[in-house]
Amino acid sequence: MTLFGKIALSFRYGSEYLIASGVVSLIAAINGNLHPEVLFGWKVTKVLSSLIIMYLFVTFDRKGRIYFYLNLGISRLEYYLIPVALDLVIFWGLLLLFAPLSKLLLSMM
Amino acid sequence: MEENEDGKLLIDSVQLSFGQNTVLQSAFVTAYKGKVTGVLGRNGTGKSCLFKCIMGGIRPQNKYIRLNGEAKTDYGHIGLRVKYMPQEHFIPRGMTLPEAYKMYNVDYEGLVAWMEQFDCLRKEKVKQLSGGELRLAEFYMVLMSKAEFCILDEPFANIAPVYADRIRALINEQKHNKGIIVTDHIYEEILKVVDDLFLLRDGFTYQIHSRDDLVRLGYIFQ
Repeated sequence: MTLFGKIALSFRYGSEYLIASGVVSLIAAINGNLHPEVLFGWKVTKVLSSLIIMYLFVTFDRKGRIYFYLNLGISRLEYYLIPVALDLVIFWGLLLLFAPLSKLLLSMM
Repeated sequence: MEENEDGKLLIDSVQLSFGQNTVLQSAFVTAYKGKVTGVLGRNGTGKSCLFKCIMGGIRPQNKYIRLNGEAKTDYGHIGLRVKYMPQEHFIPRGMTLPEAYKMYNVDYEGLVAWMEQFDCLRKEKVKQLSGGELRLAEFYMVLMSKAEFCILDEPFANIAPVYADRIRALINEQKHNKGIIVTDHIYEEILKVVDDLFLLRDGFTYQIHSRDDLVRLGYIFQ
C-alpha cells in the first residue's frame, strides 16, 4: 500500500481522533495568533492534548478493529502515528492560515 | 537434504510477558500451504496472543517469523501476506459489508452465493447485523482474501451447528490455495478439519499426533 493510501485510510479509522484533535488545533491556532505572547504556550498545549487524545483513542478503540487495518498491510506503528502526524500538519497549516488574518484584526483594533 | 521452504510459515521462539505474568515462553507453530494447522489450548494459554504477536498487534519480547524460508520477512506489513480473523468482531461498525469486502478485494457476490441471507444485508451497516451473521461474513472475507496464509481465531464460535459443515467445507476447499491456521474450543470441529495439530500449554507448544496426546497433556479427559 502506498503512503497516500495509508493516509487516506487513516482518515477513516482515525476520524474520531482527528475531529477531537482538530477542535483543539483550531482553538490553539486562533488564540495563538491573536495573542502572540502566548503562542508557545498554545503549541505546548496542543502537543500535550494530542498525546491525551491519542491515549483515549487507543484505550477506547474497539478491540478487534486494528486487525481490519493491519490485514490491509499497515503496521501498528503506522496505524497510530499517521493520524498524529496528520493532525500536527493540520495544526501547522492552521497556524499559517490564521497568521495574516489575526494581523489584520490586530491592526484594526 | 535441505527442506523445501516454499509455502511454509515458520513462527518460532515467541516469548511474551505482561509484567510478571509470562504467557508464552517459547512458542512455535509451523504451517504449510495446502494444509490446515490447528492450535489448541485451554483458556488463557496464549493462543490469541500468539496470533496477535504474528500480526504485530501485540509486541512480544521475542519472535521469529519466516515466510517461504526467505532471508528476511517484513514483520511490520505482514498483513499483506497473512490475514487474521481475531476472536472479536473486527470490521468497523460504520461500514457496510460490501465496503469492507471491496477493501479486501473479495467478491461480495461470492458470499451471497455461499449464503443467500447476505443478499438482503448489503446495505446494512455492520453494527446492525447479528453477531453470528457478522462472524460468518468476517470468516468468509478473511478466508477468501488473497493471502498466502490465513489465521482463523475461533471460527466456530457463536455459529449455529448447521453452518459448521459449510465452514469446514470452505476451509477444505481453500487450503489448496493457501495455508490455514485455525483454533477453536470446539475441538471436535478442529480435529475434523486439521492436517497438523499443536497444543499450547504453560507457554510452550507441543505437537499432537493422536487423541491420546491431548489426554496426556491434560487438554481433554479420556
